[in-house]
Amino acid sequence: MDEIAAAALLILGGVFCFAASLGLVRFPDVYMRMHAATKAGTLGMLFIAIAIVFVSPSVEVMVRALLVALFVLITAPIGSHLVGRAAYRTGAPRWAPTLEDEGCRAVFAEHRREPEMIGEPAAETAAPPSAAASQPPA
Amino acid sequence: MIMLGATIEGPLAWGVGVGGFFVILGVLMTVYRLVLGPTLADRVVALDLLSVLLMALLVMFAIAVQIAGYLDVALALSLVSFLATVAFARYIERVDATDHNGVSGQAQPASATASDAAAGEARDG
Repeated sequence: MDEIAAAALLILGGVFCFAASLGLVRFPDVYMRMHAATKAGTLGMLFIAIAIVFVSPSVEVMVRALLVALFVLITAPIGSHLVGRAAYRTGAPRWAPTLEDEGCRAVFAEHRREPEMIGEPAAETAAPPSAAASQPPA
Repeated sequence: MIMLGATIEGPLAWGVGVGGFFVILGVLMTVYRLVLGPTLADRVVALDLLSVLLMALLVMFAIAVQIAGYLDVALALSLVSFLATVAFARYIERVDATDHNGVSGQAQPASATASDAAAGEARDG
């Protein structure tokens, strides 16, 4: 029973890791790629680390695995935040339909480049982006 | 599944095999983004995900060969990769945007930036 639980967690973690890299390949700009890579990747890593808890022979091994999980859980958001801020300030190309936070724009007004846009901007009035119009480039 | 002489059987072997297959597919796709990433930030994100996937593979390998030492390797890798990500983020903020986009003349003229700042202040007030 423990082995089945561990195997299920391992496969689930592998699928989440795969989804993270799928998002990294398919999403149009760096912010979306970061969203996919950081959250899904961390979750997959957590599942795989927790799988050890079910099959570990001793508490020592279990604590080590949980330490890996905890450390990833702490550092992934910090690193992603730093990279995202750096990308925003240096004007990394942005997907055109993205809505920008005006307050954030004002805060970073001094140290910021205008980004290039990728793809077609969304129409002014269209609330739900239609699938054909906002198809991102692969 | 038999690796390095240690044997695990049953559902655990299936879990390591299928999960490892997905993670390795993910590693290949991440390397694709690492090589082709249009900006430096894309590459840094890909490198970050690559280290996380490598940690996942190490934990799986620790289960597969039943050696707990690989967990220490994963822990050390997580420390080093965090430092690498932080250092790269600082580097991106310092490097000129014309370099990392591979396009020259991307910088805005000073007047546009000034008017942006003025507009921001106007919105604030």
